[in-house]
Amino acid sequence: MFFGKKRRSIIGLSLFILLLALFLPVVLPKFLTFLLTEIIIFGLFGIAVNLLVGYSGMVTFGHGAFYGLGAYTVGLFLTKTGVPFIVAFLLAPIIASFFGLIIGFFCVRLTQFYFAMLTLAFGMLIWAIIYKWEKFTGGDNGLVGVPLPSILSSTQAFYYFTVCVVIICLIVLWRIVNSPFGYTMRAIRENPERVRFLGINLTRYKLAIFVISSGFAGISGGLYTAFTKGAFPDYASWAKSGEGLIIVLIGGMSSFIGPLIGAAVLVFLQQIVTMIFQYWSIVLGILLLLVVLFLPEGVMGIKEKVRFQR
Amino acid sequence: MPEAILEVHNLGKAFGGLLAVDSVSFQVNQGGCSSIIGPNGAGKTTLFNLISGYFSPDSGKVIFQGNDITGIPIELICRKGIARSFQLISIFPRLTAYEGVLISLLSRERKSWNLLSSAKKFFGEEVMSILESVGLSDRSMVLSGDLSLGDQKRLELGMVVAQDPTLLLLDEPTAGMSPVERVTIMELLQSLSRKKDFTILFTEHDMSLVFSISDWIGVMHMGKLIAEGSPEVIKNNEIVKKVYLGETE
Repeated sequence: MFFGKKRRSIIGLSLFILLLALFLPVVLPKFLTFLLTEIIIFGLFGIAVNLLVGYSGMVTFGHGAFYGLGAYTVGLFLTKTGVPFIVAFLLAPIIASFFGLIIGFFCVRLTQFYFAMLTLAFGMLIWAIIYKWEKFTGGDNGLVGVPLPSILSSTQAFYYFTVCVVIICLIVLWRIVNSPFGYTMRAIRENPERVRFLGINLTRYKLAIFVISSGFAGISGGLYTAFTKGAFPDYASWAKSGEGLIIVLIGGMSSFIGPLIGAAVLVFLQQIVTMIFQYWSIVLGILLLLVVLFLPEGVMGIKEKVRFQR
Repeated sequence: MPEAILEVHNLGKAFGGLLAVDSVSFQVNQGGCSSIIGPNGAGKTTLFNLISGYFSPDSGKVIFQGNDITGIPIELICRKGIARSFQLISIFPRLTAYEGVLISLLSRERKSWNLLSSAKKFFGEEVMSILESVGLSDRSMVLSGDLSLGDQKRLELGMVVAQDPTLLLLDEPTAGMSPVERVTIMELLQSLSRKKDFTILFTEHDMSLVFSISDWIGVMHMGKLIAEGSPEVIKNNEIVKKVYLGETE
């Protein structure tokens, strides 16, 4: 009874975006389709990170590890075994969430700063293993020439594949954040102590959230390997974890699709800036500064600000 | 002879050299209101923290409905039917009042692990009836953090009542409220306790309030229970007069 109007506008907006997404590659140059694919993949990674950061209040500095694990799962299975693409791709979230279960088991027992530091430590560990285990992972050279089925070889075809995968993920994630479990996630962010006094086993819930989030990060990593036909240690680095947080911050952590917007801002800006200016990091630094100081709710927070000022 | 719902045996807890709770024993009978009074730092809150599982006691036992619940995790104690409120209100500031009560109900009915149905489909009427019973039905969509202090207290009560407890521990339920508001909150609590059939154990500073509604009063002083009994007994107890009532009057 409270949500009718809002619901209709959400469905309307989603349909509009969907049609736009399907129509765009027809008119856009190949290069922009390429960028759009990258944005959508990063957006999914951001939303996975935001499940922890924005919805559950667990700031992770190690989610790049799960992105990397997803990426290397697809890369390794396709280059070293003869499994079909779809099998390798489906294994990405499974492997990533399996590691999420092990790493999360230790991390969710800690809170705030200590949680963040332990995720960072595990993240660096995963990165170091990938980087050093040259015989298996290719080390610094990464995996190159990951074979893809010919049906996905064109930029447009892969774009459509990415859109389909991400839409399915978004529907599942949307259902999760609006389910009783999702409400409990928000409650954990707001007041973990009260949650325990409502009879909820906090550790178990936090672990479940960690595992789910790792799985979706794994899917995005897997997509990126297929997208670039390669997997590199950078995918699992702490810089990647930081990128996830930046995407969340720019887009707005209190919004479901915020990270998708954050990814768009980041990718486009990086393209434009690097065309005219050598030092992207300086621009990124200033951008982050401005967001933190003036737009703590990210781009999606602008709407609220305008509404309040009227 | 009324049945004991909660028995506390020789409960003790020290923080460093400070004996916050020093071998306290008492029992709370089923039904009605019992209270623990005592000056600041007497150990009332620590006692509540020991009963509700927030701290593990150094010694002694807590028996709830015949089961030993000493030192078991908070969420299990809660599942056995003990709910509590805090001296500093404990709610979900950036969620609405409606969502706060809903989350409590979802937990009680063990629906919190449901990942794929919409939470909005659950318990709509029950949430509204609980909000109604604590006088918040017209503020159901307000963010909890934006409610007035009194309304936040009402919301916290709504959330704990939604747990359908057998025993409700209230740590200074009227702290920071106006005298008028205190009376309304306590009346509300008493009527809820009759309607939902739970026992109340609370701590309080306001003596007139305590004496008017309690069936049993325990007096704590420097970690020890120095007197217990009906309001009449406490009023006439010489030690209590000296250490406590004497100070305030």
